[in-house]
Amino acid sequence: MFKDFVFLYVEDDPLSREVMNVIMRNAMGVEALTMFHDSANFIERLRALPQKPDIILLDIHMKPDDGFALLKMLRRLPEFQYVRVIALTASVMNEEVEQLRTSGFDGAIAKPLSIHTFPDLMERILRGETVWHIA
Amino acid sequence: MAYRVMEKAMVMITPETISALIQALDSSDSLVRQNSGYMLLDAGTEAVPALIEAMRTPSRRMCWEAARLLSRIDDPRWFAPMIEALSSDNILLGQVAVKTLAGFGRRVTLALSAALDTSHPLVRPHIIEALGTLGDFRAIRPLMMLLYNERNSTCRYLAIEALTKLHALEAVELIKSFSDDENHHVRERVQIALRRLLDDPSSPQ
Repeated sequence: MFKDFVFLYVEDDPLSREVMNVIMRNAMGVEALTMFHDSANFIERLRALPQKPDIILLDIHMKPDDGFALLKMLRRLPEFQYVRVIALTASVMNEEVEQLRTSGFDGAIAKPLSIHTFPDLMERILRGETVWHIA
Repeated sequence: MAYRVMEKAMVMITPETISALIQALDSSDSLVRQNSGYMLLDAGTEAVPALIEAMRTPSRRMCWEAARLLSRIDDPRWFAPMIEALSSDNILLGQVAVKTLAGFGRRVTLALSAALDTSHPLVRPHIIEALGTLGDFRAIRPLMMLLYNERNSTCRYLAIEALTKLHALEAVELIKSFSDDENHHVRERVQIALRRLLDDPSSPQ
């Protein structure tokens, strides 16, 4: 079911990108996955993509702009107002988890990513569910 | 149920059939893989040697699917290959091996601890999490060793979490030494660990 969807993952940690790549391509059969290694010139690079993503997965702690800032930029643009944006986080601090819930993300998934849970969570998100799979 | 019986009756399970079903585990079509998996599960222990062999092939997808199927067949022959798989370069296979073996509880503590040194950096976090969950004090020393030497920040914060779950009071000084770690997730876990271990060491985590 995943091969018809377009995914974008913005993540500065190379190991997290590697695990996402293997799970999405090998286990889920995703064909359209783009990864940005940092958040610089985010909107410019997003607009330059050949296909508009159906799902954008954002790491939270990135430079120069963090995941919260990227979400704000996205929601200001009419063409990305309704794209589903999911936060990926390793944080367990209550304040940050609360901030994720109130800032407008369509869901959040805890890192490290697991092959046992990630495909099911993505399936639920693609069905329109809001998924909060965090500490 | 009747449908499953009919389906089983229609397909004679021969070595050739099993071989074809194993090949189908590498299909890019998830439905083909799923159907093949059902039939291999129907074959049960007869399919185990071929599935073990498939778990050792270079195809990431086939290895992973084979390991997932083996974990659902009650047969002791896959136990040792599953332990080997903890050290595989295939991270999907490694993750399946960790979850499957963790189902055996404290009987696998030593095998999981040994794999801390040999596993892929993307499988190791899952081994650390499993060791924290198993609740076996024999994991404390290996986790402390790992924390002391580990360069990967994900493994460091997960080791601190696992040691906290294990009530590892002997690890308090070591955990404290990461209070100024370069990674903020590690620093967060240090705060939580010290609060839980020192403020109320007898409380369950």
